[in-house]
Amino acid sequence: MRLFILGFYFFSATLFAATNPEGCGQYDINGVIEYSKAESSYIFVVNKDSLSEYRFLINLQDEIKIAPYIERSTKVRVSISEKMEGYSGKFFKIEALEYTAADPLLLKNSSNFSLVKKEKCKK
Amino acid sequence: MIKSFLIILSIFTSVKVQAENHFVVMGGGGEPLSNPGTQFDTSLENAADFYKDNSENYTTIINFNGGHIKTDKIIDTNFKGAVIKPGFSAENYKAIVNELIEKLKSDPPLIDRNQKILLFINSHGAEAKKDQQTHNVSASSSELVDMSEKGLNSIDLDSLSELSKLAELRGVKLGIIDASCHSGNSLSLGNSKTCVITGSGPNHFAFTNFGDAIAAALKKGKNLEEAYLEARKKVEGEGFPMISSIAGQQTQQTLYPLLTPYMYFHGEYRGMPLDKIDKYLFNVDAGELICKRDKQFIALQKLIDLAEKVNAFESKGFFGFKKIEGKIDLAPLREKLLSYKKTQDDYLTRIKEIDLSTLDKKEDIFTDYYPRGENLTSHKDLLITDYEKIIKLKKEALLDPSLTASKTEELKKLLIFFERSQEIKSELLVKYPQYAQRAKILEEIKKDEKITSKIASGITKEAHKAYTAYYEALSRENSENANPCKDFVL
Repeated sequence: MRLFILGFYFFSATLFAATNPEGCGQYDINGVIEYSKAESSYIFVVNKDSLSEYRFLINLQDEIKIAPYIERSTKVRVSISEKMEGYSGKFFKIEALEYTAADPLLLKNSSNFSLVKKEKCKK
Repeated sequence: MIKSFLIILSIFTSVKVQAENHFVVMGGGGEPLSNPGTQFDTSLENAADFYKDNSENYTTIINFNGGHIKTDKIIDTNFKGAVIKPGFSAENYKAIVNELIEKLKSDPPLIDRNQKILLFINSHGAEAKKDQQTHNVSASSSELVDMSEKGLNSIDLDSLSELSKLAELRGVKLGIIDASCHSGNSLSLGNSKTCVITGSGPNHFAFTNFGDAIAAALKKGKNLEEAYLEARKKVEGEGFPMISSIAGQQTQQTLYPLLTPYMYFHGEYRGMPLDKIDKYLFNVDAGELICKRDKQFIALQKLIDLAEKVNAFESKGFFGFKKIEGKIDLAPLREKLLSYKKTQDDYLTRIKEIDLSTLDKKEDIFTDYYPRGENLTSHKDLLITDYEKIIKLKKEALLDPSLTASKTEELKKLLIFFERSQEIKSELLVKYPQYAQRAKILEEIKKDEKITSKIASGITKEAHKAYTAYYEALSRENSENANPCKDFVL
């Protein structure tokens, strides 16, 4: 009976599109910048410590820009020009950054993606 | 085939004829998956007591948690017979709310004016964004229904606005309990049929047991106002619960803005700074703030005096002897407020003496590889950046024998740049001694025991007496007006 009721709710539910980075383009993303010793590079971590953690490699060219935001809750506007491999990706370019409030909701494991402009992937 | 159809039809119709009061428990998001449970589990267990006592009268939906074994066990053990939608995700939340909306919209409505909807939401909560009516709450970080789903990690409660308006239109009683941090803005969902109870004000965390207490206070026969007042008496910690009744709104509008600075504190939560007091002390013109605060504090003291007076009344005892009854003692509140104000004023006086107007000034950092004009960095950003750590990591990276020549070249250029930035930062600290003073004050605030959550929660606890005095007096004044919180009888 419970299975039927669950099924009833699923079929009648309206599924809204998730705003995860399924394609290339310009995105606003909340997360935190950390250093990855494995990559010898800074990365942008989204949904940290969760089952849907994303990790984006940051280009060396953007490191000067990101320096004041390291290890702080940050929102970035970025271009993603390559398809992701699972939960790993790469930022082509960081357009802008801003701090987000230190808040239990916006902890390292809390974030969201917002597509600003869809673009064709280069790879 | 016919047999299957009849079974399905009987289930469907049996669902339809069940009591169409609805009780929805949502939340448990934003917690590390490495923990077996969530900090919201006690409120879930307490809500389960209400469910068990009222399961025949309420269709109950549990959309809580996502990936915590202990919490899942609480749900499985205590909510047998309820509809369980595992994983508090944006998709599940929207499906539940839309389902309720559709039931209200249907013709004839599947929820009518004789029925009630009670939503209980307990999760981490954010401050409202600009132009947001309510605020966001944290979703579970995984979607247990489908592991490949990667939904939003936070949920905008503005979507409850349509539910609230429809409920009012249809004459259906709706109760919304949002026990999360910064939940005060959710009061805007209230109307003549919708009662809203929040765990705190819009500017403060709800690091209290209010979620547990309000869930425990939900008892058949009690109304939501009674449950709220009962829970509020038991609150421990930092938070300022609120209610959307007229008396509540008037009390909150009177007391909350004036108490707000004295409910800020410095603390940490899972390694992240909780620095509302830092922002408050540093982000406004200290001189202007000192003036404003003094006036506001005088107003607050008058309110405290009035709270004592409205709560006291004369009564005639034996032989016509007059006595004052119902007197509340707000002396501890006065004392704590005076003490905390002095602490904050001392910091403000020091901050006022520091000229921080140059923080936005920019320095042009250039090297042989990064030309002039390309990297203008503000003093604020230079001060906040840990160049020593960055330089250390760059030097370590350069030791990697597998580096390509081009990457080595890039790393060296960056190392030189960051070393130059560090030099400039050191020069600024000498040239502008006020920066070191500012850093020193920030460090002091972090360690000052007079600015901790213990101080803020002590004030909140004593302020509760003033709140109750005002609330009761204003309730008497507004007894003729509609009160959806009193009308919502569990």
